[in-house]
Amino acid sequence: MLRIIVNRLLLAIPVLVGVTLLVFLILHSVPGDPVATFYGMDLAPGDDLEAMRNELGLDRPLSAQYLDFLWQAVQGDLGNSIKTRRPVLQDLSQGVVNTAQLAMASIFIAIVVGMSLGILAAYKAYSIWDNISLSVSLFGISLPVFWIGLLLIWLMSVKLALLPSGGKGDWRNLILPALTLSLASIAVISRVTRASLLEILNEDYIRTARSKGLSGLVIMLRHTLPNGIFPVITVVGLQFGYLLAGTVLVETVFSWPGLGRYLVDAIKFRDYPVVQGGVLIVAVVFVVINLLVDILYYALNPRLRTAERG
Amino acid sequence: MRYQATDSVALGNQLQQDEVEFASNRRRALRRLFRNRMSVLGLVIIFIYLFAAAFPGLLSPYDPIKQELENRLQPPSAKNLMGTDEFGRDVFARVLYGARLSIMVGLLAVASGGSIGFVIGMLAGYFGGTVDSVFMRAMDILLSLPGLILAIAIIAALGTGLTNVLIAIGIYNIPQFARMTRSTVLAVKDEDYVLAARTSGNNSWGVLVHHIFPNVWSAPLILATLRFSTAILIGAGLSFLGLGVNPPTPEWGAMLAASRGYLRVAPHLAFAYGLVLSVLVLGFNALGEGLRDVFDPRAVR
Repeated sequence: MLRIIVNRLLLAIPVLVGVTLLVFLILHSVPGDPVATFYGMDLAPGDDLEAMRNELGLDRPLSAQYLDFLWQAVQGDLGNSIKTRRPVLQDLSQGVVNTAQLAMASIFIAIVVGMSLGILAAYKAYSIWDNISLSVSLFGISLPVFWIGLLLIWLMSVKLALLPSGGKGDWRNLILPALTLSLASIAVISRVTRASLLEILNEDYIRTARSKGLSGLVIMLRHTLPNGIFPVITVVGLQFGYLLAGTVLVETVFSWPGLGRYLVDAIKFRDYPVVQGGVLIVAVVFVVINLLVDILYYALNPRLRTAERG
Repeated sequence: MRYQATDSVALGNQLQQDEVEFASNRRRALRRLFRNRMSVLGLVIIFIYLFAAAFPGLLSPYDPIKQELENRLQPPSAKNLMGTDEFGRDVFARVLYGARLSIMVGLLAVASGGSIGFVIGMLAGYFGGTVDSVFMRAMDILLSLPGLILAIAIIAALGTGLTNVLIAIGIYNIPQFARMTRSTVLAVKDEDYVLAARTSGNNSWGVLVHHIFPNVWSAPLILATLRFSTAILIGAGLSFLGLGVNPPTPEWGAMLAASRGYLRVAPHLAFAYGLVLSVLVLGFNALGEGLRDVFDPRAVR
């Protein structure tokens, strides 16, 4: 058990280093002088570029620059924003909090609705309910989040005037973006729940339970669900990661002041330190979530625990 | 059954039989495909869109770019089937030319990224060892960013515009295909017919091309139909964020973004652009689901 966790932790390190390198290289391949791109200086013809490069360490080999960047990032220093001149981390921190809030609300909705739909579809497999659940999930993965967002704004804000169309205020501002963001995850979670439960329903012990005369609902909730939950946990974790990407679009639709919107604005302003910092935060969170999902999967699955002991 | 390398005639016969079996399997799969309701629905939708994308001029007489400001934000009518936008341009015409663009983005991005990923997966799966580790660790790193974020990071470096959107979505597609191809190659590379081909004196490349390839291309093809819809969605998403194709090019995502400001006075804009995008994505997802049902015996219902 412990060995598996340590093993996974060690495997995550090269990926983390790799992704920081990827982000670093992508943004250092921006055409133009790095003094101008990364420090936002207006270059005058008379400027001593060599001296500036030397001062900022940009004349050193790329590998040394990367190590510097990594070392500073570990210490929480992601450089300064070109636009606001403040430290990137300070600028992004409020966005991170807002995005986390949105993502948490969405994953909560997705788990509750997605698993319910999946259980229903497996319980009434091949019935009209199953087909309804399938249609919902097919629409969920096909409809672009930014369109669903616009439709919900049109219905709930413009037509019915029930909920605000965007911005951040009280809990009512959270409902529409969270609902929009959760739709694709509802689709995936319900499909995986159904497939996993159906597989368990074929097991011998379910037949035993049935021949004992237990009701279908008891079998589903006591015998099938606990055994079929593991793939669902994995998918929930992965979906949480993908939600982070979806937030970029949803935040733009609903003017939600999160990390994604900062990121998009930063690209438009060519504020490269902010772009680099933002992408880095998303990447690290994504890798860490995947790691936690893996560990949780091992920790919760008694079969794997026994396998390890024996 | 293991082959005796000496009996080359029997071996040749067996290899030939493998090919024949493969061909008849394919015919059976095709028949099943056309009997599968999901895939037929998907195919019909895709063909309608392909037709629209190929001959937009046949379906609408309007220019998708030319502005007619005195005729702006008109609701749908006999003259303008889907109304007009904020510059008085015919929405239906813009939808049609947008179809051409989105299909092209999906096709080129998936084809380029998919082929690169396919080749990487073939090499990594077949040769194993260092080749495998190097390629697959690189794929892990690409996969450690969510697709849209990776595309955004690439756009941040390259700048906006159609070509860069294609590059960004293409790169995003590489690891998905590499992983899937690798696992199918691993599944077949120790099969008897591969061993037979190898013992009868083919070199690695010959085995890869003539014996592995015919048995692993179908899975990535199914993945391609599913990836196609993701590629179109990411393309539209990038344009929606203002990081994709630049106006006034008729692009669905960009047009949806513009329609956001007119939800109150002209909701038909948001309806039209979102609907055409969604139906196309739905078509590819339905085809992908159908293909999976047909080719994956476990999924037979």
